Amino acid sequence: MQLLRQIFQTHGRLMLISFEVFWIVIFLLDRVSSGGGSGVPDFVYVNF
Amino acid sequence: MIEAISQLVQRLPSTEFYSGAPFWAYFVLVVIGIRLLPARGVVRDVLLLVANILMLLALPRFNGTALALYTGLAVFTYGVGRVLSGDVLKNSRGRLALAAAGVVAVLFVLATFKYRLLQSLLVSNSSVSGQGAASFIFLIGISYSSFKAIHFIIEAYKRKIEGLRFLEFVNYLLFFPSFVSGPINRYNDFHQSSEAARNAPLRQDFVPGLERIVHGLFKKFVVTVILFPHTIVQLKTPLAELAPWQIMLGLYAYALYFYFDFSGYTDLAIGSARLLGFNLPENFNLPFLKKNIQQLWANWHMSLTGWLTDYVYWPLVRRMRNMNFLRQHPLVISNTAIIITFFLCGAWHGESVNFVLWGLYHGIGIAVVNVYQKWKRQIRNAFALKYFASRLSYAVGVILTFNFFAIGLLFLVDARQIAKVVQRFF
Repeated sequence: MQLLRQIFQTHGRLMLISFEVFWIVIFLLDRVSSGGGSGVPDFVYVNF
Repeated sequence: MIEAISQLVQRLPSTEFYSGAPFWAYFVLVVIGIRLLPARGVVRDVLLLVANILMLLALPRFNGTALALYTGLAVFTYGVGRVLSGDVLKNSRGRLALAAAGVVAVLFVLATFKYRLLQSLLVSNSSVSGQGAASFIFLIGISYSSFKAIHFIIEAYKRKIEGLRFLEFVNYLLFFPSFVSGPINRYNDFHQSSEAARNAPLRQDFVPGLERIVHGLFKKFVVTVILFPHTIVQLKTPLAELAPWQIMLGLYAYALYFYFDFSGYTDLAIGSARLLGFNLPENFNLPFLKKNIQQLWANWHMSLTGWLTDYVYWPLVRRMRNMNFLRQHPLVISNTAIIITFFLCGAWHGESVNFVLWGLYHGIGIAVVNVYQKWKRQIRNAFALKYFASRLSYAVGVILTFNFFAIGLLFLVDARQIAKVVQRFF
């Protein structure tokens, strides 16, 4: 447990960024393969 | 000239900020131009101004007319701020009158380009255009620019503006990363950031800026895409026919969607600004983990709540403290000011009645929390005090607060159906 905590403290940011980049790429590829229109809504506050 | 540049830029693909591929292509060029070219002083300010203008012209609903209107707003606001900051006007009444006139003029511009009702009245009464208000002219970014302009005029009136320069002020007003939806930064912070950025190397900002952009992209392109189909606005069945649990789940998804969408946008704005060498203020600090609605609002859209606190809430409180019949009742003063502030906050969000009701709902919610806090401070019972300090009390507070916020979103969905929805619950 302590080892896991130590690993997360040392590399947590890198792990988080890698996780996020991985899913961004997956979702973007899905968007591209479905013709670019797989429902990413506009930003909520753009029209304010 | 402006029209010519506008037409030239509009031949390039237009793009919404942060969500279109062309935006990121333009943004990389801007970062290279601003951070890597050896420009200093005024040349750097000019480069940033050109970048801001070109990026704004790339927005689908921004054209030469919008740019001309913003230039007018910038010149007017700077002029008022310059006079108020200097020694031209020695008479204090004259200074106050100028500041008030400046704020009213900016509010008039905001109301004209934000509210259909006012614009239709102005256009239909205008002898120049006899076409009526068939097409509403929406000026993108007007809300946030107006807030910045009002802040600038008031701080100039207090003689608290530092390092006033015209180019820097125009860059402050048109700074593209925060132009469309904030965060609402303050002029002095922008000035200090601009000074610090002059000699700072890109490598110092590269990793933190990029990291923030990745967080924003993840929230926008992954989390909100997952949440959006489950939000109450996307459910196919009419609200009045949904079961209570379906309504609540739809509202929870909508609340989370709002948070991840807007905080994602803020991450992208902060990260992009950082890559350009500027620091923007934070807008969110885990608002859904706060134990009452007052704390939630202190940590949600913080740059707006900070602005409202400084320029609406405190002036109202100070004014009411001068009224003899209210002076002995600080809680009444505070609650009245908070309800008025949230009423205006609701009206700012949109001109229909449901936004005003939403604002009042939150204002009254915070007023109730204020009364509850006062009552709590008088309790001496050991068991109750232990409970208030416990994790259970915190958890109960977080759950109640999140539910209060989520239920309030019904006002934004369809206020007319609220009665029917309430009937479904009982």
